[in-house]
Amino acid sequence: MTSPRLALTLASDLPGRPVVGIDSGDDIAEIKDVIFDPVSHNLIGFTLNKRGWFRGNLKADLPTASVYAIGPAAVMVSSTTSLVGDVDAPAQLNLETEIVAVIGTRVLSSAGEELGTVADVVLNTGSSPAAVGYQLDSNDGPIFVPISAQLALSGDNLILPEHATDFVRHNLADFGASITRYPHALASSS
Amino acid sequence: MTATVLLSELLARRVVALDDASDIGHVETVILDRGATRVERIQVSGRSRSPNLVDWAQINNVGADAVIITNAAAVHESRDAEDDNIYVRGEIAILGAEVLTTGGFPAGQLEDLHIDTATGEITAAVTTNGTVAADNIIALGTFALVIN
Repeated sequence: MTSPRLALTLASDLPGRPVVGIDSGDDIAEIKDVIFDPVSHNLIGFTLNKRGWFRGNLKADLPTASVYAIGPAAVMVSSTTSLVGDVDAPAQLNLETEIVAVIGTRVLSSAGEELGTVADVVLNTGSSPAAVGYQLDSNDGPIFVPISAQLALSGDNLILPEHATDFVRHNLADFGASITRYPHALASSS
Repeated sequence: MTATVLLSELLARRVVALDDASDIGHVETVILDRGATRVERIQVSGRSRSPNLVDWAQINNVGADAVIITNAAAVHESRDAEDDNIYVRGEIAILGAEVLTTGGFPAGQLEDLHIDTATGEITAAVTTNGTVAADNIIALGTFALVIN
């Protein structure tokens, strides 16, 4: 029996991925930006572009709770009604708290060791999309650290709590396996 | 036992009217409902600029060499422009369409459809990854055939 592992993706891999309605089979939009709250480390949702030759900003957003599943070929939603107009979108979606806000933040261990700087946000895929970690640029190449409610953001620094250091990995697949045993993961997957 | 026909075999088959034995044309494509549960209409080749459509209910017999329709007057133009035209314009290519699971995973390409000759119902889809029973077919749209 293989050990459980989460199928993870980097947030930067999602822009351009089609959004497909399960009830229609139509590509009703594509992901423009991933909206992430760097203070609570929560995945808020996605802004959207139109599909086709006349691509452009779509005046509708996709809140995380309305995602049916994030798959490798498409982001699946139940129907067009899963997209919400700007007026009905969660407040953070309108603020467009884009991932950019957290990129470049220095990450330190609680022992004071510098681990690297945030390069990307790691998302769980499937039917429970959520932010589960950060990819850091470090002197040893990319490393992956888990997100928890205890991950303190102070000024320009993120402090990784001591209990998280055992779950740090050097590649995404290993991180997907280690994170399933991480007891401090954010409960809010929706 | 219900008789079925493969879409690939139906395409290009001659269409003949029962009432006056006239040649109507050949099957160019079929128009499915949104949930891909049945063939609503067939599009028949013809000289007129707008597509010639025949409702499946007007099909008298799907024979080995010809599709017999009840009468020549059953041929009509598009009544539901939005839905008919996405097939006629080729935006939904049925054969060769990508197949996608509800989880967003790729599941091959659509190779053929089994169609109940009496009712037009889709009884199964043949994909490059195997046969999908009608119960597991959810929708066919501009991006993919969505299956369970």
